[in-house]
Amino acid sequence: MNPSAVTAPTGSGGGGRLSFSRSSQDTLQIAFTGGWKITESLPSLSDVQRELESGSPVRSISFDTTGLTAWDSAYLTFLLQIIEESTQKQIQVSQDGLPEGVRRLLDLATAVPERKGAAKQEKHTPFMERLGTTSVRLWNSNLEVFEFLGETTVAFLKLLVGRARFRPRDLWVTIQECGLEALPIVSLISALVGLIFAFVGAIQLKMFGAQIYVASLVGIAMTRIMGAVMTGIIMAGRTGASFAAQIGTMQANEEIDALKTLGISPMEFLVLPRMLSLMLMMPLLGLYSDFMGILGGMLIGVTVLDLNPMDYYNKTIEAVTLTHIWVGLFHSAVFGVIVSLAGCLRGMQCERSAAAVGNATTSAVVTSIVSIVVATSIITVVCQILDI
Amino acid sequence: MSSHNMIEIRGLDSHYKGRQVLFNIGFAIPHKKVTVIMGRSGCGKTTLLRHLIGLKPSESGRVFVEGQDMGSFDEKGMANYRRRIGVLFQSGALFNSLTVSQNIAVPLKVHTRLSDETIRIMSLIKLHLVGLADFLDYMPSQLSGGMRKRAGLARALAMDPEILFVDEPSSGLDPITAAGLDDLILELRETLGMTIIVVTHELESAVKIADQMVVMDRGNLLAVGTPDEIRSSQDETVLRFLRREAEEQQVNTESYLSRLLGRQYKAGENSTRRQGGVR
Ligand SMILES: Nc1ncnc2c1ncn2[C@@H]1O[C@H](COP(=O)(O)OP(=O)(O)OP(=O)(O)O)[C@@H](O)[C@H]1O
Ligand SMILES: [Mg+2]
Repeated sequence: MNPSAVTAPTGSGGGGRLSFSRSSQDTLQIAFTGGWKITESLPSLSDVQRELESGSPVRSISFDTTGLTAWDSAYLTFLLQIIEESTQKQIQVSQDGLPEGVRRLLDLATAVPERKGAAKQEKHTPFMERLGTTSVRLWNSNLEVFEFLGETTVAFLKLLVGRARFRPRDLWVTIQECGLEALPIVSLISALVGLIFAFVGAIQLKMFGAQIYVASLVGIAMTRIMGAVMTGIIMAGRTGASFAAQIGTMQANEEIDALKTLGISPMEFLVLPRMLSLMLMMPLLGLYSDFMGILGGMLIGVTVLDLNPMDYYNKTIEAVTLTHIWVGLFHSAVFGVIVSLAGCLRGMQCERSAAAVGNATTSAVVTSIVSIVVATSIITVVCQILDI
Repeated sequence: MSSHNMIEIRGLDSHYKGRQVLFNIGFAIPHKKVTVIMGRSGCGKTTLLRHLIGLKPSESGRVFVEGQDMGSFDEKGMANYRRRIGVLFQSGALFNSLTVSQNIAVPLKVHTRLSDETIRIMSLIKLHLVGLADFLDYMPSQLSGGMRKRAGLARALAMDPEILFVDEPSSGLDPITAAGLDDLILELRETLGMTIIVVTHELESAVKIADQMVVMDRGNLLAVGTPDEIRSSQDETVLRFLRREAEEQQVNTESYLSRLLGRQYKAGENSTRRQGGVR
């Protein structure tokens, strides 16, 4: 087919317009004028529908295109819609009035072969069926998680007996990425959280003249929970997301498959160093965050509450017992496992496209944060019961 | 006769999330020969390859390597098998964080205790084979699509594998480079006695390099034989494939229209309009 024969005429003439006339009792003639192009403003199909439904019933439609100055796919689409509409209402459509090019394109468009299975039947699935498929899907995704946990455990056992293979350099690089490079953001957020705690506490405690207890409040809150939770959330957004993106990209690029065929276990080579470094760095970052939070609190204590820095310091030392620090460290260690697991899991589950990598990243962050909150609640309740 | 066959496939089915994509595939891949797998896009060639290289688990009793059931391989058996194979993936699958030469060195570093200098020279030899010797220190992202393919081939060849799997080596290559790759494949078979499995769309190159051709269609095995046998085949679909004819397909204007316009539509239904004219 010669493409030049079907090129649309060009020319200007403003937006496309429609007008209707009845050439006989039951024949509707639609006249198109102006430029019917994608970029112009065009009438909508409902104008035609309204015309069809008003007046005496229409048996056939014909077109008049003498006033048509320009057209493109937008015009074709409009015509296709009219044709479909009329077929449904058992109205004859005469294409005679259409320009030659339009007619040929219409033939082409309506002659595209139907691909087997391409027509998606949209059917209403009953509630029980949906419930069933959802449960199966949930169960399967749980199975995947357990499988991943199992593989991770095996990789760690191999590490213990010295048979796991990864490059020490990778471990070193990730330690740097998730340790050193996270310090600025952890400092900022932790100091601000300490500061906020001190402010909020100060307002209440001032009423009793007990400002000095701000030190205990900030100290205990930071060491016991907030330091760990804040670093956990920061690391979920920062490092967990990057783990998922890195591994997900490798999955999308078939690199993981290539590793496997080269006899390298991605669990040992990719997942292990990442988990190890985050599990090592998270407690350290947690401690650092405690410290920064207490500094932030002290800033408020000294400047706003006019407390003596020495008093503040002593009060903090008195309040923050080793138990609090241990509980905080335990939180951090758990969060380290959670964030690195979620990041690597979502990365490994990634499918083969760039969009899937984006989803993996989002999913890693959401999984981490939800798990962190759930884990915190569980640990808090257990500590309560054990009276720690 | 399993002694003459490197790999034998019997009654292999394959599924992705419940959707079956391979149906009862069975054929044998002879020792030290070039087997070419052909078929239209999406017919399951890559999937079949994934089964053969152990990336997609097959049911027990489906894939045999020198008479041994791949489904019964333990971790060690699989590791041994993988040491014997080289794979060029459809996308090249280079490690993006490593340079070209580092990519090629990976298998050598994993499987051997060669010195760094030896590894360097060996990688250079393989890169020469595929004509990429000048791009040693490039990152994969700095290579063109065809170059990535070739670098991937160099990596697949790094260990002089007994069995080489290549997924569409010449897609994205100009005819001259592609012909060079064909020669390389024949050369590898002659000099190193490799068993080579090639997936390709190029009929001409398939006929040139194949000792055995396998034609697939929509997950089914259509024909297996020498290029001559395939060409003299009586099967309508095979012939059509060889003649590169498009399939005549049923035209269903109504359903095409309704799909295009995104409405549900039954012929003869004379309903009055729902709301929502143009979408
Ligand atoms: N990861 C996957 N998840 C779900 N379905 C898949 C996946 N990979 C492939 N498929 C499906 O399996 C079928 C066969 O795909 P395959 O990649 O094996 O085709 P192919 O013959 O290699 O095609 P091409 O020549 O285009 O590479 C296709 O219908 C595809 O939709
Ligand atoms: Mg493929």
